[in-house]
Amino acid sequence: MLRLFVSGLTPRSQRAIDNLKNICEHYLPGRHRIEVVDLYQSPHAAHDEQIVATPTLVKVQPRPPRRVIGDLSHVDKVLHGLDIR
Amino acid sequence: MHARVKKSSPPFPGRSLRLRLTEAEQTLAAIRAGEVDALVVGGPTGERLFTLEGAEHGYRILMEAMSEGVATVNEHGLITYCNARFTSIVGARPELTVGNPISRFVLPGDEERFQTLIAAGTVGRSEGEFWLRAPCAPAPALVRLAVVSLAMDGARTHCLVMTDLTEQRRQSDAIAAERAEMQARLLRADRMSSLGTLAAGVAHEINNPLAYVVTTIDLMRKRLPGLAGEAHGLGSEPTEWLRRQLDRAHEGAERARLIVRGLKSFSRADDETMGIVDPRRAMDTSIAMVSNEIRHRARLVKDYDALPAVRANEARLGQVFLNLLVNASQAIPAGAAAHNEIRVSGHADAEGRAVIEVRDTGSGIEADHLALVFDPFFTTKPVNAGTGLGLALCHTIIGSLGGQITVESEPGVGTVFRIVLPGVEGGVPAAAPPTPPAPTIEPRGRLLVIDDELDISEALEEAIAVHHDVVTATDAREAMALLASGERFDVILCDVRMPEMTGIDFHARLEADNPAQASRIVLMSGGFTRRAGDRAMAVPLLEKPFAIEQVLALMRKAMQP
Repeated sequence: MLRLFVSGLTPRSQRAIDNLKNICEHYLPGRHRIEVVDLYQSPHAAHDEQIVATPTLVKVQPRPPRRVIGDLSHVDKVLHGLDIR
Repeated sequence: MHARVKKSSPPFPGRSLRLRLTEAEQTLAAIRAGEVDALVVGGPTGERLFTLEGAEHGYRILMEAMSEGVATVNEHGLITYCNARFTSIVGARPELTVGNPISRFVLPGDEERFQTLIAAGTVGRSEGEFWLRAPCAPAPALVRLAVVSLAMDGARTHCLVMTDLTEQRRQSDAIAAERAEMQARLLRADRMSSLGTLAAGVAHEINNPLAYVVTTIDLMRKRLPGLAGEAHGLGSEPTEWLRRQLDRAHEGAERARLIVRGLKSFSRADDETMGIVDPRRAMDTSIAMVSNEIRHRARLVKDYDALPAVRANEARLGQVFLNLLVNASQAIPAGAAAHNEIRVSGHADAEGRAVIEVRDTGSGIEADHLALVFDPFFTTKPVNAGTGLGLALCHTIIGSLGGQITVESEPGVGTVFRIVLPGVEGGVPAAAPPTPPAPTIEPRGRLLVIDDELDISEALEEAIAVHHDVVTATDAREAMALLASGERFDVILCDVRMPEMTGIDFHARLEADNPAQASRIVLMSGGFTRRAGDRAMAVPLLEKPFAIEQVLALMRKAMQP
């Protein structure tokens, strides 16, 4: 399960969402679940998950948790950061 | 063996140092490269988002605080952004909204219309009403959607503004329902008053013909013994048969008389004269009015003897009994008349009050309705049958007489309405039913009858001439001339409604000229209503149709020394 933290509507967050979908469909077909959390709407979530900046993608499951910051356009970096290969 | 999951958080619980270092470096690199939108900064009240783009902060707050739902949808139909209001209106979980197709929230069957809405947004602003619903939401929400398509950063974005109409729709439905109910009430009240007008009209029309019938039958009954003697060779059998027929005719006419009286009292709205009345008169009248109706539903039993006199307006009291009787009969299902009963009973209680009960073997009243039956407009009947005002009226009338009306009921067994009215101290005997038969030997008096309708005055003359001398006049002028020429009468019966001079005017004139004779005037009325303060309020009134006996009683009284 992947949780993407964004701060409202920005070009970057849109890109992040798009990229995330593509990556999941390509590398994790049928094995992914995506949630998008807007920190403007749920500010407490930043504290719970120790988010420092947005956009941040957090792999919640399977353990261990991993995170990637940015618009996720570097596929390799994302896959490596999430420990998916 | 399971690793224990630590809930509390020292930063980055349970991860290796190397990993933590890598992530920290990546974070710094991303920030330095300007690859982030905002930083989470700790403040006195908790985390705050520090937006790096600057001035947009205010707009973001505005978006989130708006009372409209806002969402942006990309050209593939995916939601790229939405505010909290949007998700709450459709009942979605926020984290499952962004990144998902907007079509998820559109109801089956609406997809095409929705697509049209979106497409129209590219041309200009388009609007439409839709029911939207998140898959996990309990119910759909009615919203107005306004769509505008913009080119943002090289891609086409559809901006949706969503207004929740659910509350508005609920309110307008409530208003419509209330209006429908008010209209129904007005209709009922209107019907009630039309009924009153109709009753008055009918009563008025019937009065005169009924007067001839009653008078004529009376006459025949009186003459019959004489006829029997005169007819040669007529045995007693045919005479007996004639007598029986006449008696029946008389009974019918009497009933009709009571009914007309009842009808008039039903419509007489402004005659509130109170008097000492025998409740039995009102009970008799009302029973006569409905006995034909009740006959089909139940046996009607009269179970009352002497009752204390009460202070009341007899017409109003009659209305109360009428209502109770009609209710009782309607509570009894049709078709089993022999097995059902409506019993009207009355007696005096220890404190001299009149206690009157109307008891039926009908379907009864539910316990939770019992407290409501006297409420205005409370009715368990279907919309067109009954106004719901009958019992409320009874309650008001009885209350205004200083009495009480109560109800007891057992569903499936029956109902009893009980009226208690304070008796009159000293109990003046109530206005007697039409006066006792005249004594056989009577001094003859003089009666003047003024009526423009010949039939009436002739019938009266024939009937009375046996007992007294009768002179008739067809208009007031003729009568004035008679009186001016010195004629004197014990009673002057004068019709109220006459073409050239009304009875009231005649009285006024005569009072000026000849007060002694003016005091002999008794007005005959056929439906004319007196209001308090009218001229000639003090003049005695004889209401049509009346019985010969009443005229004879007037004569007797007038002839007393």
